Amino acid sequence: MKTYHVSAFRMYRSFFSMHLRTAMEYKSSFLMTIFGMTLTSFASFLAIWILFDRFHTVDGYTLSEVLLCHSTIMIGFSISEILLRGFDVFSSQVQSGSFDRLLLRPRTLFLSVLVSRMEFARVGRLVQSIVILIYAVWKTNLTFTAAHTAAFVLMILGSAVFFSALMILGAGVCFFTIEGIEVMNIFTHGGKELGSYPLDIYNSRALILFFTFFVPLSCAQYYPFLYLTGRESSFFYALTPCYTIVFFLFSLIFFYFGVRHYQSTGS
Amino acid sequence: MIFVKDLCKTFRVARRDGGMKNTLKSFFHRTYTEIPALDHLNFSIEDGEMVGYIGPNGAGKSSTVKVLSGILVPDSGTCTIDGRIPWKERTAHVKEIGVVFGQRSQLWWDVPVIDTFLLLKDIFSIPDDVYKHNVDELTDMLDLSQLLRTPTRQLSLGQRMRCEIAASLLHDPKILFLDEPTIGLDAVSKIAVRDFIKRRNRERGTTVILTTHDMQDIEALTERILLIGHGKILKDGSLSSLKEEFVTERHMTVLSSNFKADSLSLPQGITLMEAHSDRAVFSLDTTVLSVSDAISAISSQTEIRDLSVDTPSLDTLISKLYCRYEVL
Repeated sequence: MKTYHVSAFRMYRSFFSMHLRTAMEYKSSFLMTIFGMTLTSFASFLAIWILFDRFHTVDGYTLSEVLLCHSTIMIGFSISEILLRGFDVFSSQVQSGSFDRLLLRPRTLFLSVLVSRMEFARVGRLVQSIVILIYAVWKTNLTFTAAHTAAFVLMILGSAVFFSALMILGAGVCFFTIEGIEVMNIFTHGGKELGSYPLDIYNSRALILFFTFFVPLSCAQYYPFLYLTGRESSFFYALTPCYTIVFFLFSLIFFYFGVRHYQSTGS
Repeated sequence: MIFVKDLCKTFRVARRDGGMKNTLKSFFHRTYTEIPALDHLNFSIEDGEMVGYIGPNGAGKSSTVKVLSGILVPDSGTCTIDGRIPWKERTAHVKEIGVVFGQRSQLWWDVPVIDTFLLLKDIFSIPDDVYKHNVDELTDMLDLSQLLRTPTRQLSLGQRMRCEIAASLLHDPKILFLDEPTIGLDAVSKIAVRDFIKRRNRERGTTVILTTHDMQDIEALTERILLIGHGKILKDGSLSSLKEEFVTERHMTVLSSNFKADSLSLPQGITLMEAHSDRAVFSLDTTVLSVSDAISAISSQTEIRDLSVDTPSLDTLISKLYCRYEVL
């Protein structure tokens, strides 16, 4: 019998290059979208800049510290937006019936949906966020011990995992509503805006608790940020992004639970 | 071997009347109607068979194909294909089937067709030598050599469908589901597609399940017909036996030099439909009167210059079937 098997990784790589080539097919449109997306995310950066130009500090946080928050969240968000686009626009895939096609592939559903879409036009936002991050790190005068480096890396990864999990969760909801629900945008785009500042400036304990245990935005970014800037000294704060994995797994289980309720669309 | 027993699937559909008021009302309180798409469906298909799966829109054709291909999970009943339950062993099952949705492309729009093929090679883990052999063979049989390097968006519908069929056969499926494969195609493409499907069935023994509204497809391809309506199999039989049973009418066109068609005395079972100065059209009920008796009855009264006997089209047969079983 045939035992030839193409690994999930190799298949992912093939799809990656295919999506890249398709995106390049319309060069001017691709570049325009990158430019447009960069401009819109530049606006939120500008808002922070203007605010600090006036007040210098907010709740004891300096501009560079807030930019550190802002840029890590943005990096996490753009990474998941580029790579998990298939989940992000999942409702349209269910509505158009192209999800049926994905079910006809001898691959896990997670992988099939993952490779179905990639949105390279969002790469502008990623690059911009990385530039801001570099600037923020440089201005904040962070001391990079091994522990701090770990916190820094985990913070970025945690943000990416957090937003990815939200998108998968949103995709799972589609099975029950067919249309994507706006509630999910409160968390994705809301989380993006909320997370642009250290969470305690909002002065709400309930908010922090909610975003710690239910939607672990704080675990992804706020707690390691406190450790990184020396406000908390326990290394436990640096490890909290690991909790986003739990959230991710929960989302994935919910997504698979949803698949069982799948009804498909007409003809 | 496909085996389906007591398959049921019910869809819950939200119903509301039009208008703003009802839209608002349905926002808070929604009434659902249960629509049985499959209602105790039973049939079995042997390896290597070609089956035409017909029925009016909304009869349950697509739902059946979706259950058989592992996309939908039925509410109750069993279905095994080569000993596997499609929705339970989805990944193993889909390796053995090929599915062509006439209205839903799986080719990438902006890149050459061959790029989609290469991607399918990875998706289905097709070994290099098998892939090369299949692409060569399919290219040859479906005449794709000029098309493979063209982006999908620049292909005509017929060219695209040929590529579409090739794409779904790259992994050597044992069973091929074709959902309206000739929809919107021109005559040449239709014939090319039909010939290919026939050849594939004959040479490889591929089981073919074809859903279509095109009766020429059925006539050209399938010997066996499954008629579905209201989620049930209403008729399962060969095309010729169905014809015998349902098409008992013949149209006889008689040409004669001096015709007084109205003054002919006609035996039971034959009626005059049209009368012209040089020709007349009769309708004949073969359950009452045989064709030869009808000819001799007419020839005894007038001199026949030419004669033709026609069977009504397959479309007529199908619409009779639909009426008979009240599926419309």
